[in-house]
Amino acid sequence: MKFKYLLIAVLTVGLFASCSEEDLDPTLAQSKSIETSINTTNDLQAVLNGAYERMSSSAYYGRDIVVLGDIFSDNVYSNANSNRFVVEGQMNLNSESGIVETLWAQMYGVIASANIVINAENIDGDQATIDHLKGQAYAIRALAHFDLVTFYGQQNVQGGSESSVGVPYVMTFRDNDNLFPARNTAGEVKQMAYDDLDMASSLMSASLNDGAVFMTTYAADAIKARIAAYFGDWPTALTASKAVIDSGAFSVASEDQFLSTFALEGGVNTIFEISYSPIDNPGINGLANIYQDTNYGDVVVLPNLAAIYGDDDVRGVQDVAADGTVTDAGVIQVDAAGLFRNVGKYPSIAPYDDNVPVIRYEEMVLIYAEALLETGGADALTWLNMIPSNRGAELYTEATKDNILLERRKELAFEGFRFHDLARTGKDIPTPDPVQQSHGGPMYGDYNFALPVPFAEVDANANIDQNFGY
Amino acid sequence: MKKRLHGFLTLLLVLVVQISFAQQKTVSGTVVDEDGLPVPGVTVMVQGTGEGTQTDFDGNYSISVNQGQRLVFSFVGFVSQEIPVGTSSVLDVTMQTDVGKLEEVVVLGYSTKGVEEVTGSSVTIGGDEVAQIPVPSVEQALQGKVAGVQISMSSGTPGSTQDVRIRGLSSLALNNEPLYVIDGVPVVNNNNSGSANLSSLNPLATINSQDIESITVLKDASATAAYGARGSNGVIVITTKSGTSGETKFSFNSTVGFQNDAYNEREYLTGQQRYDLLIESLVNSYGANGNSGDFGFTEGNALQLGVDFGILDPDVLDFDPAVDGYNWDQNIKNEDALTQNYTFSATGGDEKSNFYASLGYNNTEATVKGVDFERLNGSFSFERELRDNVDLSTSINVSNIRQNPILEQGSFFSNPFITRTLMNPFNDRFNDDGTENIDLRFGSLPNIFYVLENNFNRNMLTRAITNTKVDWELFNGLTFSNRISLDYQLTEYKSYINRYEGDAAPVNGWAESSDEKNFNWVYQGSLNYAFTLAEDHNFDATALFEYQNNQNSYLYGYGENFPTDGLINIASASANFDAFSSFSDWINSSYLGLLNYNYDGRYVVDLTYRREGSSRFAPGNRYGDFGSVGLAWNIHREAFMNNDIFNTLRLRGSYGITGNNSVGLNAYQALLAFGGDYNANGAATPSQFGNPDLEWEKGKTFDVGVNFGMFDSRLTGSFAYYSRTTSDLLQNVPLSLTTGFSGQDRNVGEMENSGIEAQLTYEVIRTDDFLWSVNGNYATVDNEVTELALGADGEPLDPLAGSSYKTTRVGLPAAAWFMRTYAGVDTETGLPTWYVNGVDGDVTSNYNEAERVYQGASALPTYSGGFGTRVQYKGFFAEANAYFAGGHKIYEQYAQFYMRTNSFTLGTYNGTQELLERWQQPGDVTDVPQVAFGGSNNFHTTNSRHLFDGDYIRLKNVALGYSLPTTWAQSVGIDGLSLTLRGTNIATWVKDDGLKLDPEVRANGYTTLTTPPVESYTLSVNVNF
Repeated sequence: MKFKYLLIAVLTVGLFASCSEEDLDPTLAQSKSIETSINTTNDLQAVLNGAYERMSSSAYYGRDIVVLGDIFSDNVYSNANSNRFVVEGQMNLNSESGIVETLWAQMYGVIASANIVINAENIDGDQATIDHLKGQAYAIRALAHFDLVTFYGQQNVQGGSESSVGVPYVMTFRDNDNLFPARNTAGEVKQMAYDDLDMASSLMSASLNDGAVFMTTYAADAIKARIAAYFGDWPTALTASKAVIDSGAFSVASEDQFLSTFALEGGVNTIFEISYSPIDNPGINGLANIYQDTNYGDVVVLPNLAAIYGDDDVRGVQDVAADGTVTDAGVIQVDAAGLFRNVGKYPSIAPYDDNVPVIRYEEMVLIYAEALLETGGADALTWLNMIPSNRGAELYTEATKDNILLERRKELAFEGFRFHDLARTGKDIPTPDPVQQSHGGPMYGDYNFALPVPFAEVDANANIDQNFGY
Repeated sequence: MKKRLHGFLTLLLVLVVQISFAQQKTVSGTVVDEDGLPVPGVTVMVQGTGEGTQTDFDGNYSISVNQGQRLVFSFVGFVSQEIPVGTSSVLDVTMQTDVGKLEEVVVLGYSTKGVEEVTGSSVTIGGDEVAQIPVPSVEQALQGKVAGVQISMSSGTPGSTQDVRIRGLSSLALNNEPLYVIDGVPVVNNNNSGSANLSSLNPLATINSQDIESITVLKDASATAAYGARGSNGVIVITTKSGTSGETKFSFNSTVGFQNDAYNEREYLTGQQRYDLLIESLVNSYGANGNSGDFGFTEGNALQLGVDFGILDPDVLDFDPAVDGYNWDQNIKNEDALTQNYTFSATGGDEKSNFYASLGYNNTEATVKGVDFERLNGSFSFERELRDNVDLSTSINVSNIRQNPILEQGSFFSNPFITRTLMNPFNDRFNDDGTENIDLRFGSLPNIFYVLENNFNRNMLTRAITNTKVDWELFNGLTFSNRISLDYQLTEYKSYINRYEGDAAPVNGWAESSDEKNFNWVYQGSLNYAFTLAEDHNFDATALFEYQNNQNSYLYGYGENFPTDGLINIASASANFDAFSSFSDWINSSYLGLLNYNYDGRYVVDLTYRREGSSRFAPGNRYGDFGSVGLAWNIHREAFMNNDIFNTLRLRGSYGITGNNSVGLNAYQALLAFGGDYNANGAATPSQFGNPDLEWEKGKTFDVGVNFGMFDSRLTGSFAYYSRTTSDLLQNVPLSLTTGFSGQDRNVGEMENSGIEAQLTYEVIRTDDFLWSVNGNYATVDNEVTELALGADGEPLDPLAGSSYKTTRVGLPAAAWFMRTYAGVDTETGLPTWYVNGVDGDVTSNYNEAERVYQGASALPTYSGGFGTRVQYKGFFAEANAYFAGGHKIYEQYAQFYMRTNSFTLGTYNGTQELLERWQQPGDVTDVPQVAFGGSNNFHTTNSRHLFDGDYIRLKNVALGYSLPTTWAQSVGIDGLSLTLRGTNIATWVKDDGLKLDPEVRANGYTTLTTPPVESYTLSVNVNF
């Protein structure tokens, strides 16, 4: 009898004790294995969507890159209402500053997602569809690297040029042979981005273009035009912007259409924009909250910018009647405290669901005009005047570099272009409103014409040197 | 075999026959102690039967028994006696006091051992001591009582989690928390708050400290190896009360008191102070010789020009510092916050069974407005001898805790501590009609009084733990035990943010709600065999199998835009609904072998082996082997020690390997997370780099110590030295961010901790009526990183790369403070300066030019301890004990806000009164720079100006009490009555004058914007009847 009990006891223990390694498999409920889960075009599309989703983050096109491009300039300043963009407004960032790391990490996150798509092999499905998806990934990879080099490259610091260090151009996901890449030169980054865009154009087909919220054959050309203009490669800029223009797929938004192209979905002028829905609602971390007179509302328009628009310019200051109704629409509004506010671009607050335009046709027109001017082509003035003529603004009598830059400042204000326009044309940062502008007007070539490489990168990656001055 | 079993049966039959013919009679007598005083309540049992009785108040008993049987007399605090029944019908017994009986047994979780059989390092705190400290979470009561245990509050908000570190930092991984074991079962102990931004919620707060029998802290490998894999950070074994046989006894305890901030000397600018500084800062920036240029600002026109230039709100012109504004800082405090705890318990039983039941209620307010904690709990424990050889014990503890959390885990606008530190004092709290003003004119902070009143935040945790064990003695000495424990934690979180003021005003109110269900179950099956060979060789062997499964599911909902006030559920929201659900699990399976051997009680050998598998590692790496060897020599039992000085003297030592698996649940896998969306379609993003080679982190601990009791145990104490090397450190090794990941979990590197620990208690006076004792404990820990992962250049990689505060590098303590060194204010320019090389010599006002250097300490105290005294005279007692810690540094993290010397503090928010010491003119010697509205001098940015020595001493506990003499109590119909008046944290000494905030900060060393530790005064009444 006792033996029986003992036997039962031993068996019971043995039963539970026969636990094998497989019995310890954890459940994967929200994630899947990277190695085994990308097999179909649907899977590929989901990963590509992930790249777009990462672009939509507040750390990238959702806010930071857009604001930085304007606050490092004479367009906007931070009133420190919620302590946002204060150090940025002072152009006093250091390698410990949060935004320096989040911007870098977010853009490389986009690149990692794009690389998964580019590196994927043996996908089941229609080859043209696969190619179109991969082409989008190439275009995204090129844009992200370009955005990186404009902020972190040394091409505008201390007499820098295309041979100055840029950023690492990463082409493989989880590349165990090159986990700590060194920096390519700015010129290499430009060339690799060109190559990626050519690859994008060859892989994508216009018939599969899926609207402006995704990369398209047009977007690939447009990004190339932007990169070429930045580096002063005017023949390429001319060809690429002309390709977009010649597609006939877009036109300049009219004065009446203009404001609506920033609300919800873009319009006839939108080449590429980031999609936002109420689900994505970035709320307090969105562009509307930082620009408008809200609890945050740190980013305020400088009086000097408000003053450069003509009275009837739809991009300028609204006219408001005594009862508060807007009698003449405009992008800029005067708030209760008398501050100028951008309310026309990224207008909705609760929820924030306006798509953020990344590339507009108007930019292509202005690049084309500038490229014509630089390459000695005719008609630069015609193309330049195509913008003010659709904005209720006065036309130019002459197509000069200054006029083109002035029109770019007016047209592309609050879209993150101004600082890069100043940098690429070798200008100091103007200080027309010195009391509000806390950066004090750095000179072209100063250390703060580039961001520092984040600490988290230089400390972890011995192959990367810190930028000058940090 | 079969034959021998047959023999057993026969023998039993013979015995039965014998019994039935034995002669029954009644035996009676008196039980007295050594002084001849009667001992009531002594259990008198007939050995081998379930029959028994107890002595009455006069020590008398009477029992029916057969001649030849043995009576067993037992009572707590006395040595049990077995006396054969002879022919006499009177049997008087004198009980011998068992010195130190209460400390005699050490509960090690899987086993309970006599103190002399233990080879490891452990300290037990009795339930009485735990119960007396009026804190919502039981582990707080350990502070200052156990050498080598450092406990710091994550927040003074009642119900918050605690940071507990046993013998320093053993791991670079996030988790250095010990393993908690309740009644023999490892439990999960995570922050259960419904939102990471809100106050934390501690699952241990579900346990009423009045229900604790004891808490044992296991420190070295011999003690923790049984928990192998997860014992690396030490183990805290909590044993809850079980029943005592006898007549049912009732006990009622009531503790009521009030609390305030223990130590807080930071004060913030008043309206007048800020007004003056604002004007000064404007002139400094924009006046003649202004740092930003001369724009004509003077003291007289500065405000007007500021408004004209758009840098000040026009309302500032209407502000009159003499009459306008409000003292937000002081009024947000909840002075004399109420705390109350009531427990009613009953225990009793007969010789075969006993029970303990209790009901408790706790309500504690925080020292800041808007927070409240409530606990209701019931527990029931029952033990019964089912058959001669089968024992059942079962317990159930159900509790419900509710907490109104606040947004204290960051610099949220609606964090009351942001209002305390940063609210612009120019704002008036009330409208002219006395209502709360929700249109504050200055800055962006909401009126926190309105927000706290009109928002609703609640964490509610309902936890049920059952624990059932059946011990079945198969034959003499061999016991088969099965234990099943279920632990269910349901956390309901509900929040409504009002429509008018604060975070949800732009969306017209929002509500969110979540349910987190954590179900953890454990099965333990074991065989234990205790036997003695050749008289003196005593063996105790255990084989145990344990399986633990944890399942967590989470459901969340959100909605905004409310049509009306007073309805706070998502049902009434109308827009932007959001929902989320998730599931995760983990599994542990282990095999354990324990062997304890002693020779004649003199030499003890303790062997432990544990093989444990964890689902956190890849197949092939899941199982790890852990174990320990412990030795002890009870020298006082040797014949040659026959002297009067030492009544206890033990040498003990142990060596062993324990582990740690604190990495993410699926950390070994390269993962694609399907959580996002783009353009209303699902999106997948790579979320984890993965590492198929991930395995257990190993800690090798060596521990040697001596325990002694001298002069009839008047002087008792212990000394220990330990050294622990943790290798294969689990850590998130930084990757280049260009990979799209910030790091990868890897096993790499090595870290050492070593130190000494001492505990001493001396009874200065010990007479029948008067007792005076003093005690102290002291521990050191020396932490050093000895190896790290190597980077691309072959140099060690800093796992804290990217931190502006800390570094982890070879040769320094882990997470050592690493920053620029402040060199004071330049007396000529008024700008802050830092040492260029970080140490001495040249200084610079360019922050980026200064080198970051090691600041000589980490956040981990290198020494800590406690000391105390207790005086007892008849029914009166008085006691006091203090806690101290030091050798570490503390960073005042929010100096980054309130120490700014520009428009941030003087234009938008508010600053600390320390700004009044600013530099004003050349020649001024101060360490606060000039205030300049448009300045950006980096004074507030991470640097040693805001890093302070952490050394402090705190009077944790002072108490006065009185127990009514038994005879008086009985005359009013009760068994006992005691009253205790107690103060906690009533005095604090801080070494560094610069440290204005409470020195008791989280283990990571940063001051936070959370509720500070509290000073409390309580009165408790205990009635037994």
